[in-house]
Amino acid sequence: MKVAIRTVSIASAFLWVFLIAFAASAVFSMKDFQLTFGALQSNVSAENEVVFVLPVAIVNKGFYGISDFNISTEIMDEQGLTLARGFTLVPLVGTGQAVNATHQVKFKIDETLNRSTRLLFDDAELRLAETFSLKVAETIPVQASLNVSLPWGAPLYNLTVGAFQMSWEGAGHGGGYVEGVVPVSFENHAFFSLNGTLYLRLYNDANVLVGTRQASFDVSQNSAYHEDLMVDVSMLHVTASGHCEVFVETSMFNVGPLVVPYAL
Amino acid sequence: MLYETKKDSQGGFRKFVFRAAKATIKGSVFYGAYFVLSQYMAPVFTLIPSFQQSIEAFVIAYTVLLVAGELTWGTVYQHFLNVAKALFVVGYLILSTNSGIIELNLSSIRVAVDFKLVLTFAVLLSLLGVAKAVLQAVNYMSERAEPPVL
Repeated sequence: MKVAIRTVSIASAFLWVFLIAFAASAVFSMKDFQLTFGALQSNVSAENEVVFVLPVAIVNKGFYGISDFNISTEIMDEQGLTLARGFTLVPLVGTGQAVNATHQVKFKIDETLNRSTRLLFDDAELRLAETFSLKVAETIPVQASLNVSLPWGAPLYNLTVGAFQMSWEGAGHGGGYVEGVVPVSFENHAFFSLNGTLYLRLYNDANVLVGTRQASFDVSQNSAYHEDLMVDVSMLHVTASGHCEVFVETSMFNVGPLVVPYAL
Repeated sequence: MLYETKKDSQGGFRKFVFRAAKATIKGSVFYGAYFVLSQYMAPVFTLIPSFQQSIEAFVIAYTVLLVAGELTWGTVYQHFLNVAKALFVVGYLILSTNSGIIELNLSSIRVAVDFKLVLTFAVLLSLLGVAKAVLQAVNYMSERAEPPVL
């Protein structure tokens, strides 16, 4: 029995030394693991996707390899609705290796704005849930997570359709049409330029179309749009009250109809 | 007769001094190993002060059990203390590491470390220590039960 006890003692001592040395060196080697983030860039791709790009530099000078390095991003609006998710996986960063990765999060702007229409007209603070996970020495999973906010600028901030005004001057000279004016304005707070077409349809109180107008626009970021849209209105059908419908069509999204009543 | 009793007590005192010296050396070596390791772990201790307190509490309790085990060497209490020492390691590892998942809040970053695999190995090794202590106790009792050779 003494031989068995001695064998167990030796094996146990050897395994303890191995386990403690491994655990301590794994923790110690983490101080030589460097993670550097570049500046967050945002752009709109040719497929009308908003792309957030985060360059990441991973340097591992520790004793052990780092495996399954994963960056996960979830973008949510203020109500907690998920707008986009992105994952980047680096399978292995060996000892003494440096890896440069690019973490991308894409979302289709039209789908996102259809789900969360408030983002079209109001600025907001989007929430970014960032999670970094990796396996130290390819065996010990470590996860770090943080929440950051991202300002969102509305592309049609404060979209306003003003009161319809009609000018009776020149009435009868235009083949039964008179000229009306509808002022339309908005500010582009988004990080991308906005170009497209604005459609205006004017209806009388019997819901009969009395005039239309379309106007193209090109509004760069952080710029305002203000236009008095001239509409030729049918004198025969126009009434003292009615409503106008506004549609906005851009290469990225379509909005409408925005219904505004009028009274002359 | 008086001479034999005096000789016995002198022998017992020598044995006690030897055990005490052995216990001191073992305790010092164990603490020295902790001291050397703690130098390497200093960045971790700076980051998580509670981790250092927890490790120090473990080192103190383990050293006490180690020294007590050495002082009671050659008695059945030594085996009880060895079992207690191994069970203490199992309990400490499970409780102090929250069953293998440590969560930290570093300002706005939440860090979770899952070292269940290392913990499992450590618990298995501690259970091996319990088994060894039980074997030693059985061996001790069987040796004492054997009739003296005439």
